[in-house]
Amino acid sequence: MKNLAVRYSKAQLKIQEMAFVIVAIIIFFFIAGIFVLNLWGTGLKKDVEMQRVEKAGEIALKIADSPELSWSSSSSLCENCIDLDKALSMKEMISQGSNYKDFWRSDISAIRIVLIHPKKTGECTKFNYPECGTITLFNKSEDFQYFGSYVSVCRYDEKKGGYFKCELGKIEVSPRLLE
Amino acid sequence: MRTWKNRSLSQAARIKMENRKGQEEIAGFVAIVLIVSVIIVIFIGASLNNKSYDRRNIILNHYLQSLNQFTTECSSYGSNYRDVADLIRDCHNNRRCSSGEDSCIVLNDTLKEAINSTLTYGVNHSRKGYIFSAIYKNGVQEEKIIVKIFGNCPGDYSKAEAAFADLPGTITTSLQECY
Repeated sequence: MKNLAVRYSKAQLKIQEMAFVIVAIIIFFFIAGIFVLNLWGTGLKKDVEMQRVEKAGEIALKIADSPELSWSSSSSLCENCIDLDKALSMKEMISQGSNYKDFWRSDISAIRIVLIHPKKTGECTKFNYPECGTITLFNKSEDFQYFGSYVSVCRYDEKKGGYFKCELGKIEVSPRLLE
Repeated sequence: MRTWKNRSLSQAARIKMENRKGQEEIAGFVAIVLIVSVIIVIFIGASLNNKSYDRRNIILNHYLQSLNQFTTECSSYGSNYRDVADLIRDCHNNRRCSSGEDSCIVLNDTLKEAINSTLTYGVNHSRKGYIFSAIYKNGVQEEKIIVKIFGNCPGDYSKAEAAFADLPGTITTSLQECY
């Protein structure tokens, strides 16, 4: 009888030991899993940010390729080329309240074209064009961050007998469309 | 006949054996924990050491495209001002500008000016340097037209390429961004 009682307690002890081992393993894997997920999440955030920047660049280029802005005067194919004359006209039209104000999606806060080489400064108007550096088509808010991509900014230059000239520029859009 | 002494000895041996079994269980548990930890550490190490460079650097691609379309100061005749791609062809074919300047020299100066004024690089920047190159290929024949190094290229990099015809072969321009 006593022997039986001793054997049962030993069995219970073994069961308890096994239970503790299982609980310990589960807790260990849980902690390890949290650690791995944390690391993986950090990598994901970086990828998402990069994709947002790339997406903004692609959308900016799609806007640049629209007939309203694209350069079509060259005899050869010009990829990602903006007609600066068209851009200035577009800006003037939008500032005068044209329907083009909402031509692009309502969640785009601003679009601007910047000349980066040769470097010029100042917002373009019909008075200082083409000796200026930026054409802001529109901006709906003061609080935004720009993302965009490189483009060729082309126009007809009357100097040196008149010729088509393409310079390095950027087209940038606001991030509201990324939310 | 088992004496009391013999019975005690066998009980002691059984207890000793049971204690050894318990120790074996603990040793087995520790071994499992160690093996799983090593596997997790190897997995985490592999994830962190994943140094693959960007599969496609879209922004760099657009920059290279715009650079190739940049109008230079070199004209072949009258007002026919050459862009960078045309100038690379002229350099490869030993042509001169209408002003008498060597097209390769103008190309060299144009690239230096454009890249230095539009891209930031250096020891204290995220981008350590850039390498621009133009290579002519015709079947197995390969000829370097121009290679310009800006800054340093220590290790990781991403690359953009653009190709255009220079019959009977093609010219491939590439821009490598070094980290």
